[in-house]
Amino acid sequence: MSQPLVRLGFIPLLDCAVLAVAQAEGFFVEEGVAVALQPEPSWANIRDKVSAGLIDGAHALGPLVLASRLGLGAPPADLIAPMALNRGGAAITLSTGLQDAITRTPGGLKAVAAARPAGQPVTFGVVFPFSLHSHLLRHWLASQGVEAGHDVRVIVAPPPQMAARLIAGELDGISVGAPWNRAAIEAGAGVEAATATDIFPQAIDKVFAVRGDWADANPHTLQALLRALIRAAHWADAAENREKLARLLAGPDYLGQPQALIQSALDRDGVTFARTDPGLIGPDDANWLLADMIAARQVGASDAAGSLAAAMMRPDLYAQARARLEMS
Amino acid sequence: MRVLVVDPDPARAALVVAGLADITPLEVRSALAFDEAERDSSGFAPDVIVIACDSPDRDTLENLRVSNVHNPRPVVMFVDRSTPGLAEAAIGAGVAAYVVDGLSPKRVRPVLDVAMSRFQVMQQLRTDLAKAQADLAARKSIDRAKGLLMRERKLDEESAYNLLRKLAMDSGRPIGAVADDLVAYAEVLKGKRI
Repeated sequence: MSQPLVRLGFIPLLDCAVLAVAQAEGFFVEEGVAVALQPEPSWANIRDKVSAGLIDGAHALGPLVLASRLGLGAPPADLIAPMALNRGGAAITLSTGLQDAITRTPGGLKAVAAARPAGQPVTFGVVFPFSLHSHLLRHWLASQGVEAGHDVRVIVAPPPQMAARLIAGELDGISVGAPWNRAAIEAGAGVEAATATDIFPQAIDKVFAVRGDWADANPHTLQALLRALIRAAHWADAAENREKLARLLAGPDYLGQPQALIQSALDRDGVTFARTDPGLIGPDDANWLLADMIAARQVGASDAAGSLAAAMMRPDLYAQARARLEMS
Repeated sequence: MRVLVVDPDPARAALVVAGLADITPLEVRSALAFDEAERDSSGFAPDVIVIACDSPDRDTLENLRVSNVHNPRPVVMFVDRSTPGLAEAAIGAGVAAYVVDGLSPKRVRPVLDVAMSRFQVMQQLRTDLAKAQADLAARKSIDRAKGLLMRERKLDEESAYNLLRKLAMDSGRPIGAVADDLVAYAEVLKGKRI
């Protein structure tokens, strides 16, 4: 029986691994679904294409899904996240120059920032306003007694540009996912300052996002996708598959980067795909994201926001897929 | 109204800019990439930014509406809620638009319409070009296969073509593909390949 092709979007990052593996290892096909994976140039495109039905699902930032539900940054869209794709990997890297200045200067980052001439503020790059990376950066800046947008400048840039812009000296610090921190560090241009794995070990990073009405209209297809993604997550975490995974992600269809860099990021940056059944996400995860958005003054606290957040995660859909896999 | 067209494809950007020339009063500039610092320093503060969806700078642009401490002119994604499906159509055409808060959707609508139609024109041109190139390549393959059959089977040109067409019809494949295969197999037999 021929089935319609399911189109899924992704951003070239280490944590698109679960989608890449499900495709390359044939898990999608084995679970009975034909998938076309397409890279997207920005998170805004991911959000808009899923919302508009131009693609059926995508690799997405957890907070981006919640922001879409709340209508922040775009018209409200009923996006849901039935599964997490990874934890860990987000980190802050400082340029060696900034790190040296912080070490030398009494008063640390705040004093360094204050000493900069007007028009040349200490500048940090982050991948998207609604992201764990943004949350991590705000948390770390606060721990240094520094306010984003006041003491230092924060701009948004696509992940693949981050390491290059740190190396070129355009950015003084970056908050980005794997493998881009590792790329800056291995180039000798950066020093690790904080990682999501240390500060928020349970926080979800990327999720698998679909539209709620698409999920309702295509329950069997969604279950097949989830089964394939769960299998892929376990495959990607298995030590014996790591070299093959590095080779796959390094290829031109995904990151197009040296395999040694991908391997190094996989080995050292704390990205996990399935180690503690992290596909299972629930209302607590969504509430945690919402609390951070409220703290960051991206949205006001309200009952409506609370119920939109509570319905974002769909542990029931995930549990159904996992139960079916355990039976077979 | 000042419009900035951000498109990594300069030919397509030029097409959009040309299309916008008919809308007055309008000042239009285009750029390959969205550079926040350059925008701040150039003194050209756009009211509308039309950006190609395949530009990697959409996320940079989106952040301006969230934190605009360094630039007091917020940029908001334009969605004319009175026209259902417009946002979908724009994204489908590969265009996103951002406007300065407070600008009337009625004034911006013609800009978006021009951008969408020009993107579609460009897409059609690209599709036509690709088809023309494929047709040309197929014609060359057919000529080579015909020549091969004329030599090897001592056929005249018309019979050679008819044989190719029959092969294509019997196998349910395009005649160009059948011709390609025939030429490739002949080269294998002659030892030119593998």
